[in-house]
Amino acid sequence: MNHVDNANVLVQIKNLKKHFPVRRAFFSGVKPSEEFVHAVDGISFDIHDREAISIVGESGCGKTTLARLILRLMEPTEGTITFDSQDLFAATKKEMRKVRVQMQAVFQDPYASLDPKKTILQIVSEPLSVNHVTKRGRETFERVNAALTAVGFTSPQRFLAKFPYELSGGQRQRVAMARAMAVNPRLIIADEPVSMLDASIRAEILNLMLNLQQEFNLTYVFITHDLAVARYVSDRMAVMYLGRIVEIGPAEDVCTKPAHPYTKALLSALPTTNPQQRHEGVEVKGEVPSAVKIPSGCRFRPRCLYAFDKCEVEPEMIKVGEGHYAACWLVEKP
Amino acid sequence: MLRVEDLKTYYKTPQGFLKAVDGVSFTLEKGEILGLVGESACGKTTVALSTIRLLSPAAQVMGGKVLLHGEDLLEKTENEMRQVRWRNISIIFQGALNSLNPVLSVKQQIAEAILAHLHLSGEEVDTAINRLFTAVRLDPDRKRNYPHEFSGGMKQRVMIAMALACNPEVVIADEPTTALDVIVQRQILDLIRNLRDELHLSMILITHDLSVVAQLCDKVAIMYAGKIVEFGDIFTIFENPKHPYTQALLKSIPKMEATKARLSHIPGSVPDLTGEVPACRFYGRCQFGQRVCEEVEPKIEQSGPQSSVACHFWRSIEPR
Amino acid sequence: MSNQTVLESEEKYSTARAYIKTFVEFSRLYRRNRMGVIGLCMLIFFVAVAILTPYLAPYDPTTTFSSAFLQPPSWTHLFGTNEAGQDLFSQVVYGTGPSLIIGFAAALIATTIGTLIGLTAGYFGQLIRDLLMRLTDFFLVIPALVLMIVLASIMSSGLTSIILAIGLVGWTGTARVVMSQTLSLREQTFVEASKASGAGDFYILRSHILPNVMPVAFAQTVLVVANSILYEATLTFLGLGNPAQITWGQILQFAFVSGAITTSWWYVLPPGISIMLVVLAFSLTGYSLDSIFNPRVRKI
Repeated sequence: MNHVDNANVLVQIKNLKKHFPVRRAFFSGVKPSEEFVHAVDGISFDIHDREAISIVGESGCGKTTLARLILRLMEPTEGTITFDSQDLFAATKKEMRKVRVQMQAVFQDPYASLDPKKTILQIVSEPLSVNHVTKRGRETFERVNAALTAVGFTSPQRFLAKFPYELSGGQRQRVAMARAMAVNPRLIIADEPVSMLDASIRAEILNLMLNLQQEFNLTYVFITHDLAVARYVSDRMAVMYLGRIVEIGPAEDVCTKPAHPYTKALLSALPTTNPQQRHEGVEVKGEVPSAVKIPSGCRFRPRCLYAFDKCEVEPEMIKVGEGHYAACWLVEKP
Repeated sequence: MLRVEDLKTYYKTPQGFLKAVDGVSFTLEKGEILGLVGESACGKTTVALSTIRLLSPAAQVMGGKVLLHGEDLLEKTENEMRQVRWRNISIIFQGALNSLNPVLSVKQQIAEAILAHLHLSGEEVDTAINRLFTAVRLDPDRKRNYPHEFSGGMKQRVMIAMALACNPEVVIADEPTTALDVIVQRQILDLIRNLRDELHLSMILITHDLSVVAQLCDKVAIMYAGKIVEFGDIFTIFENPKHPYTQALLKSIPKMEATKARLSHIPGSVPDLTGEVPACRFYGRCQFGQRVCEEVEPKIEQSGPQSSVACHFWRSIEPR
Repeated sequence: MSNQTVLESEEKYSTARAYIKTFVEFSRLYRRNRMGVIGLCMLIFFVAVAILTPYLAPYDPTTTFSSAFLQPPSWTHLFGTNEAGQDLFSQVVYGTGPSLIIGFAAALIATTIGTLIGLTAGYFGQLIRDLLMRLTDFFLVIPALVLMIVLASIMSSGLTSIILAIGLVGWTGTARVVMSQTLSLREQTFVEASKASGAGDFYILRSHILPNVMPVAFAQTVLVVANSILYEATLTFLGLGNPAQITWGQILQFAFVSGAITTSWWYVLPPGISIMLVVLAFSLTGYSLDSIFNPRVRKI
């Protein structure tokens, strides 16, 4: 498994926040723009060069918004992201272009992330032409072929003239990866890249991603709700809840020695793949609260079975092990 | 109790007949949860819809029997089927979270389901709904709420309540947890198990997720391209799968419990069911495939006291 | 052949192949719609008549036959003659081309304006959208014909003014359809993916939104042509056209002016029915195109 040899920091995220104003109906009695959806509410962590880190969480926790912010597809309410010492949100168009080439994305829906009216050649060559990396013609052609070969198409020329509807889900996702790889990026952000694929195809794509990482020294940010997939693919794991990271650390440690009650609940809620090992899930009270009214203090408090008086204060990240942190006061208790 | 024999359902397409379900047989005993597992387009939803005869006009049952307590449901008239539906067999459709009518309260919708099949007074319906809500662990006071006031997990509970409205013997659940988050999914699965224990329900659980099956089911039927390739008791199948597809499938899912060995995937893709298909549908992707697999269809054989498999070479394939 | 020429021609070849394939698939789909096929056949018929006019018309439409004024149909004059003694059959045949061309030209202007407005309104922010939608509403509220009459009378009478009048008024339907399609396309993942790749707004509009909007816009265009032909006939009938140019509307106008409209059915019926048939043909074709392209209407 790929270890973090080079502990250079590639991306630094500091105190990132994104609040969406809630648009209320005129007569609801609430003043407009007083209520916000706190999609991302204070996230700080580093992404190391050549590591694979996964962001795990349930729907609504803000992981998708986080991905969009890293890709600068939206502007933050607060906070900074630095890519290779370039401040992302302060960058000019020219500087952004240089960054964009190094940072590419793969999305969840293989059926929607490819323009149905474009051929595979056009799709994969788009990052090249948009960023003026190559001129049209031979160089583009060769790079597209190289990218398609890298993702596993043995005779790429056959596919250049095809449209997305002619390919299977797995093939489309591979095309999406080829598109991301065409510009030789350093960082790839994958937003649920396998959740819409069949089980047997998932393994193929996950293995492909692992191989590409080794071959091209890629850094991955892997967004997913599936902890088993996250563990398989990543070196480090960050668990998100209601816009914040509640636990972060080496994937193995987070999965085998979870420190935060939410992580524990998630892990125990996973259905087993061995019928002999059916176990009771950890009880969690209630439902996920709305991201508009974030609970005071520790945001997991209303649902946590172990909440005690100190939880009225919002916890900081406390060290639990080597590189392993959790935002929970319980960790301090003997 | 429920026995499906050699069910064949084909869809009419401009390219010919799509043999979505091509000779499927299984049994379901009382109080059993049967998992019908397969990847997309393997025919599992079609099987479910065929048993309660709710297929789209393009689909036709071409053969086989669906025996509920010995009576063939495929032979019944539409009027007779209407009596059977919901009272004997009910179904929770795929994507059920979106099947609730947004302009009616959930109480009205469940009442509608009840009154369509049973003659009860308003008061009796009310009591019934209260009882159903309690059974699915929802607060009965919330029955007057509208669907958008419920979360995903709660909507799924409402759908389960609706399916239980007329005390059926068999409930078919098509992908009941696919759209739900992990923790909510777990709660729903636990709920289903409790309902089975309390009400002695029998259930057919359709899913693509093997871990859901492992968590909940007593028996499992593995479907591939319209056929059942392996069938049996859950422990036997998971511990000692005999069919190459089952083995490959089990090897391709990431598991929390296992070591970080590389997952294997299945090369190729599902055959086009409108055209010529090899006799064994899995031929071409199977690492053990031989000439005979292409020409002669493997019959389902007993592979153990609680399991059966359809493969020519199951005896010689090494266990995992 | 050197390696690079092989690669270059491969690239062009593959894209060409792809588009041919799309067209074949599309015509297969289209053939399923019987009404659409009928409409298309009618269209082809009329276009053929327009192209083959010199061969089909027995006489020059301006030639007067001094002995035959307002004659009903006969073997020498299939549609009869008008009050100037001109052969009406030749006139109707000669009128096919101009009627179609004016309809096309006007529709082209209308669709271009409508698409541009629709794209802009749909893609950019709330403010621009509101502004443009109010503009569209303005044009929708005022009766189209009235507006066209006003515009056409302001400009010097003739072909160009009619084309402009129709084009500047008839874009609203296209604008709405394109705007709603753009709005939904804007949220699509492939647009997001494009932005993540580094594409700017205009590239995305040009390269992703426009091609996906074209089918729907094209279906609308065909309907706009139908309307334009009808409007042209109306405006010419009202006397705003160029009397020297023969179009079906013009023939009807002469029928009206000469008073023959009440007495001579052969004068009125052929141009009237021709207009009706062409409009029907475009409508049938347009609706079946719409049913293929418009995601909401599609029953597939």
